[in-house]
Amino acid sequence: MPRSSRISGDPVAIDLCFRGAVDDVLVRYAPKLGYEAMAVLGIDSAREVGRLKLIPRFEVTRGAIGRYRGSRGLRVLLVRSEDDLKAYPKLVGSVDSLRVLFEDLSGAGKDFWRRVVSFGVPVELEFSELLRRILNGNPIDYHYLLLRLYARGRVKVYMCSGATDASTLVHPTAMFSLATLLGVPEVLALKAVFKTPRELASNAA
Amino acid sequence: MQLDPLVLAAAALAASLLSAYLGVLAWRRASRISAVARALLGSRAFKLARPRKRYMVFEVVTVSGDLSSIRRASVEEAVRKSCQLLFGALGYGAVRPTLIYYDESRGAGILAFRHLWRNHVFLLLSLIRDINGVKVVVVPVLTTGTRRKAMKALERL
Repeated sequence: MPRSSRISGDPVAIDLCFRGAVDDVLVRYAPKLGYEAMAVLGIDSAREVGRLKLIPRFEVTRGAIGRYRGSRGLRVLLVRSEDDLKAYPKLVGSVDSLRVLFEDLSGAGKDFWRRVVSFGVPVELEFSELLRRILNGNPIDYHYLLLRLYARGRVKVYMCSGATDASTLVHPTAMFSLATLLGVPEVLALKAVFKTPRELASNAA
Repeated sequence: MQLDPLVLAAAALAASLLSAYLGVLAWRRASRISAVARALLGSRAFKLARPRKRYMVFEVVTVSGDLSSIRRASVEEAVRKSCQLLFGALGYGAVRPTLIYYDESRGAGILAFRHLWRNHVFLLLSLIRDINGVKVVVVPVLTTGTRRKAMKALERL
């Protein structure tokens, strides 16, 4: 953790997966929780509402990548099967990050993970999904494997809240805490919550 | 031959400075050697961190509903439930989150816990989404080592 004990203050974090409607409540509370920008699903262009910057987020399937080529915003490739990452070198430059839908993925073998590593784009890890699985007693083997690969420097990972409204937003330090409790070193956990989302947002804006 | 007293004084000063410098060097080397020896003997493995108290100032922000309907007891209950859900009875005993102060009119309070479990407390606060039927977000504001500083921070909030 940073040496300073002040937790809330000037907004410093960026949430890259907000899936709800942007309303007054969100605009008021997101900066209070420490968010200066959010990537929102369903908006077409970047804009600023109050103290909050909004960046468009596009969830792209393998078949529809062409439609989003050249779009300004965060382009996230949804990976539902091992086939989605076949011939991945063709995808370089077309997407900004990966989101592996572990619930739909029937089985991810070594080849799949090799492709994830070789592709080189950051992989998204959603806080709310991960916590839901833990609390429901569902296995988190793949998430854990992903975090181990991250801790070894094989892949880039970033964490986002996966919120759908203001009440489901989480404080960035809670994401940091979950990552450290799952065995990620503190320096890397900070990077996954603060630095990597900032880099992606600056590329997308 | 008679030496100039000024030269003698300067020589004495230089000699004392040199001996002080050599003394510091020797002390640093000795402490380094003793640290390596202690590490090799494994004495560090037995060094236990004394659990110290930390005080977290937090704010309960209502997303929908009335803040005045949130009582101290319901905040305590929400913290306890959240902690037990995440870490079980054993974890709850170790973290021991204790609500030491809650201002019902402002929706701000101070939570005490053991310093080794700071990250756990952040996580458990993020789980609190509903208190007494009111949708809330619990925002951690500051962590301090003393209750007095926490109270001061709460006044400034």
